[in-house]
Amino acid sequence: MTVENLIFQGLIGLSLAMYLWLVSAGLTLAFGVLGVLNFAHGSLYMVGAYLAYTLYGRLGFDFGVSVVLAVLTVGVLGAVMERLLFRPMYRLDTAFQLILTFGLVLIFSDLAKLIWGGLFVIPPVPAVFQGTVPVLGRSFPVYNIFVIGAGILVAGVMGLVLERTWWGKTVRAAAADREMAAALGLNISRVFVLVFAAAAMLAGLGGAFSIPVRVVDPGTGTALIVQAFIITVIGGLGNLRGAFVGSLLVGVLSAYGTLLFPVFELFIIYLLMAVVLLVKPEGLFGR
Amino acid sequence: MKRFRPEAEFVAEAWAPFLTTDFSSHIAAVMAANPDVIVATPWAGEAVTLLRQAVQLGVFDRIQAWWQAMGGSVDVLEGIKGEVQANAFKGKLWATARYIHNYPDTPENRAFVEKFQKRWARFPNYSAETTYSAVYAIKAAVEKARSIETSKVIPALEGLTLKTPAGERYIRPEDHQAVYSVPAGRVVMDPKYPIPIIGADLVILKPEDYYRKPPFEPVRF
Repeated sequence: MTVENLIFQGLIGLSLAMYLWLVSAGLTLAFGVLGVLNFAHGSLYMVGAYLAYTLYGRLGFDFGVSVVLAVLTVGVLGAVMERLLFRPMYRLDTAFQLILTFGLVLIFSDLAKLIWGGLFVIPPVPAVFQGTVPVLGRSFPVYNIFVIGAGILVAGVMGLVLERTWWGKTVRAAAADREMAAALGLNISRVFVLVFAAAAMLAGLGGAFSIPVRVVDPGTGTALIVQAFIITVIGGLGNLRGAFVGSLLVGVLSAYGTLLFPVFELFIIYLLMAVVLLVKPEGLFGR
Repeated sequence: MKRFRPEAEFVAEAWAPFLTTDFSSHIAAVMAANPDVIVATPWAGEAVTLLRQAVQLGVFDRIQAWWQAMGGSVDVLEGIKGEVQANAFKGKLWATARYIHNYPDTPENRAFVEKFQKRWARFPNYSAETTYSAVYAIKAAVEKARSIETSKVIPALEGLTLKTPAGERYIRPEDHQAVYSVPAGRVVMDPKYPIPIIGADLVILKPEDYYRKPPFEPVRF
């Protein structure tokens, strides 16, 4: 086990972490601001993936354009979901929300099967992602560099918007105390629909961006949602900083686990969650 | 493997559960040990994802061969078509499947493939062939037993030999396994077919070579 291999595995873990962050960011945002634990987050990821696949793989659009269009469409879908389906549920018990979003998962899966068929699909790899760069004597995929870049960019943009802009302040106010913010004159319903659309767009971005190296099928997103939930629990439900750190922990530890303890890699993520819940049940950054 | 190549040395392993979508940690962990050959067992969509990510990680520049169990499944071959056409696997991808449409070259197989293609516009997968043969096996057993009672059909199935598209199958009486020769080989593009096939360096594995007969010894690692 050389030092080069250890560092290389850490870089692989970093790209895995940034991918997990892209998937968990939207889930965390939706819960942190709206209080909605969205099971259908994985389905929005899947819709983003399928749309990007159709645009790029079937219709021949440029990959970047396909991703942008897919993300925007999923954003609109999210806005519609929030307005029509979630709005009536806010004053009800969270159990109803879970049932609703679970039902959405089933509906989306079956719709995907109807539209794209039950068999998996995968498009060609865009030329810009092909190839590797030599790192410490081994080959690091160009695609993974893009994923790391995208994850950091999303984290940076979200951090800036939420901390430095007026809009971000509005969102944080609505998250902290819904009634007070409304009493102070903020248009809470507009905040909610826009934030959920943003969360949906993040899910769609994760999905669309993943298609060069992953097949898409009607079950896509269901396994990821479990990982995203675990990350939000580790980081603290609704806490974006927590989700980022949680993704880093899960990604890097999974990568090292695969290298050093192959048989146990399977439950490292659950072990981590168990440890966090035992030591700090509200999550690493939770209150 | 130790039986056929005693000098073979296992240098690394990686375990990925079902529904894994990111194999880069596993591939990187295995490549850290500088293997000459990689044997992989994920199938269907995960096989395609794994192979795609292995190409991304530059694996096929370094190893001598990659063995993909169930890689000859039609859905996998369709999924990796782009890579095979671009020679991304550098001729190093080997695979097997329970049935491939291009072997054996018998009248039964040709007729089956032709009718399947006409009906479904795709090549038959091993699951299609197995189901098809199973229906005919039951038919043959029922005719032999002259009854559809389960207790009479079971002994009629034992010892039955059947000419199926995959070749001749023999249903062993001692454990009811339907044994037959299985093809394996290199994944290539062949001008006769629009999708990659297991078409070069074909090896036919006879049941005596790979089907263990009961009583079974426990496998030692």
